[in-house]
Amino acid sequence: MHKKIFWKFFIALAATSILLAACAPAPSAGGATEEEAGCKLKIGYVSDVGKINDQSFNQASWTGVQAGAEALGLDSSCYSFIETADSADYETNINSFVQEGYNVIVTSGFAMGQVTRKVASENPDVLFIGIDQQQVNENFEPDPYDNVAGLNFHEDIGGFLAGATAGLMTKSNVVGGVFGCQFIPAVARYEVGYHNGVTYVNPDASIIDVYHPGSIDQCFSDSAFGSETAQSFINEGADVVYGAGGLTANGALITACNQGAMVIGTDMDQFLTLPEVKDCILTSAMKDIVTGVSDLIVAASDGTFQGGDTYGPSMLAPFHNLDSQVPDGVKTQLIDIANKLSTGEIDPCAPFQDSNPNTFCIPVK
Amino acid sequence: MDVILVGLFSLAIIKATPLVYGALCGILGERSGVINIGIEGMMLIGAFMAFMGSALFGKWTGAAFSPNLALIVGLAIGVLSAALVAALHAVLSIHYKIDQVISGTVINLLAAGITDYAANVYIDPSHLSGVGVFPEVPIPLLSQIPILGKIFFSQQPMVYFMFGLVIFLQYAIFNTPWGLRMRSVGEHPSAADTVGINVNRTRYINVILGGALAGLGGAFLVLESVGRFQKLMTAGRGFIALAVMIFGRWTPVGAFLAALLFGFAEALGVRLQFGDINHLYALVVIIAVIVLFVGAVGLIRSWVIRSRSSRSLVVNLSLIGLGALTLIAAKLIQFPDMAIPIEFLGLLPYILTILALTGLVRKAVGPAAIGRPYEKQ
Repeated sequence: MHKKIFWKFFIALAATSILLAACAPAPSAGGATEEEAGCKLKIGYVSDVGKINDQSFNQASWTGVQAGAEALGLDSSCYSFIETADSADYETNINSFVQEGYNVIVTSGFAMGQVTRKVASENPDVLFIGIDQQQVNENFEPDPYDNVAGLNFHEDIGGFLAGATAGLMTKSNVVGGVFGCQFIPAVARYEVGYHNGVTYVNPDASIIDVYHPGSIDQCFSDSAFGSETAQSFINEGADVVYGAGGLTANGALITACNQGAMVIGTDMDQFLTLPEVKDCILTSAMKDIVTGVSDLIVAASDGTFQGGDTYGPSMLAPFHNLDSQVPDGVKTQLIDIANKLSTGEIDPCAPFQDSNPNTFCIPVK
Repeated sequence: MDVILVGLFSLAIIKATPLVYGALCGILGERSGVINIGIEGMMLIGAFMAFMGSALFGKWTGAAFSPNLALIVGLAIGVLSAALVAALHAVLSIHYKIDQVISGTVINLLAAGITDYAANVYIDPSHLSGVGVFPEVPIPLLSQIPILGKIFFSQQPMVYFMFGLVIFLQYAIFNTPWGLRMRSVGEHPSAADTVGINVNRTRYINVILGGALAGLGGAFLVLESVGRFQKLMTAGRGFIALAVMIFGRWTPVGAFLAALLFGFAEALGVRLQFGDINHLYALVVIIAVIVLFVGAVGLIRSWVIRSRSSRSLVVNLSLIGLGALTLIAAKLIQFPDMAIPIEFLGLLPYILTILALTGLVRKAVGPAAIGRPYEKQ
């Protein structure tokens, strides 16, 4: 008797935990037929390993999907997301949207690029939008598909501007950077750009850049690693810390901020997303994922969708609370650098000694 | 060089601290015969509740109290919650006699799910922000010692508490009646029962106390490291803590040293990326130091047990010689400037652990009654 009650309890517990662990609202199976009539387009978003509200990359992507859907006037039942918990599930997650009859599937992250292309080649009727996914084959030669649009960004430009800001604002002449996975080209471009940016404005500054050495399942979600690394930067005398790498970088920004350093965020305007750093965040190297995704979704709806690579802009966020501490000279210099970057006068992605070989620089048009 | 050593070792200690707390949780459980694979989950719950406790306390009381008080409140709540989760593990595995590995796994899944969900509902929408972290507390006089003072005596309070706990538990487990009872329950529960020790009560107490320690480890991540709860922030530390416990042969001091080695290797993976040390030189020096250390430990051990084996003497002396020679050679050779790939730096903790395991640890045998629920005959 005792045992029986217990087993019921245990099974209930196990079931709850599995439900909660997979708490992503899976695409509503069955019973959706009535709403489907109202959907001219069904949009599915598959996040990279991590969370939909990571205050960074995944969140920006999902916000873009929502913005696109709202621009088309879609009902909220017409678009949903799956949070990837394990990199082994990329294909399963994308395919579950395909099987549910979604017309547009947005996937985010370089790591999902080849899987997205594989599923796309098997389902030519479904349109795919891959964020941070250059449309290349295994040998990194351009190889566009008609139904896949790769949305890429000049992270090197954003990183360069962040680096220039850091190089101009540092007083100790030591600046640090905490980065996610070094084998992800977007992250590598941020780092190389940052390094070049610091050197361009301040050749004497010493730059300490650290990547998380773990696998894709850890390197964007280990905030304690970021925090400890930032602490060691501070011990080395760094007074500006840049973070590009999801939750790992968030840990670095918060700790650096607590220790009195200035910080620079990434992907989104982190002044708005990370309240702990609002009094020490200089700026963020943003990429406008939201507009990029939303534009592509609108294009998918009105038939102007084109396969292949598109490039979105990368720019700096406002200075917010630290605006008064940034001298006017620095501001004009940054504008000047931004102009030179856009004309191609400065190459933000230029290799240097021991620079990361995974950058796969995008030529500036 | 001083700056580099200080930076490296203080980073190693910070990285080792949550692992030590986790490993101590494992030791308390397993020494009394209960496997605890749910350390990761207990740490995660501890981290989450510590954040909620401190952030909400800070928010509700405004600036009426110092942030340290909010942090202490958070710490207490985190520790209590993790102890509650451990109590669940204890009830499942002691009272209901389920497979302890399954029960631990359920706790890990449950903790990941609950904290995720609760963070979505209670932290993100309201932009709840943390109240900071415990400040560094340099200990007077001791922190003035060159190098060592900076490494050991200029840390945050929970690091000091970890030092104290390791020493206390090492003494308590092996030198007090409480520890003897715990070990007897883990080795031979029916014998312990016949002399009047309440086996299941001992196990309950140990598992719940262990949960409190895991909660400390989780709270450390929030209250002394990051200052904010981030989803799944334990990132596998609970599992590494289990490995550390076995590597340390189920003793607190052993676990501390093992965690320190692990933390050191991780810190090295970070420090070598700074680009101001020659990578090859650093690696050669570290391997030489490990070889030297293994030889020295072997020599001391054979001296302590008064072994007269000339073979082990020759082996140990030649290890010491080899290490010393390599160190001298490393000073003289001009190493080429070559960067070690970052993936390899990520492997360093595991490689160094294997090296040390093969050299230092004899066969590691856990408590005999581990994993078996106790039934009166």
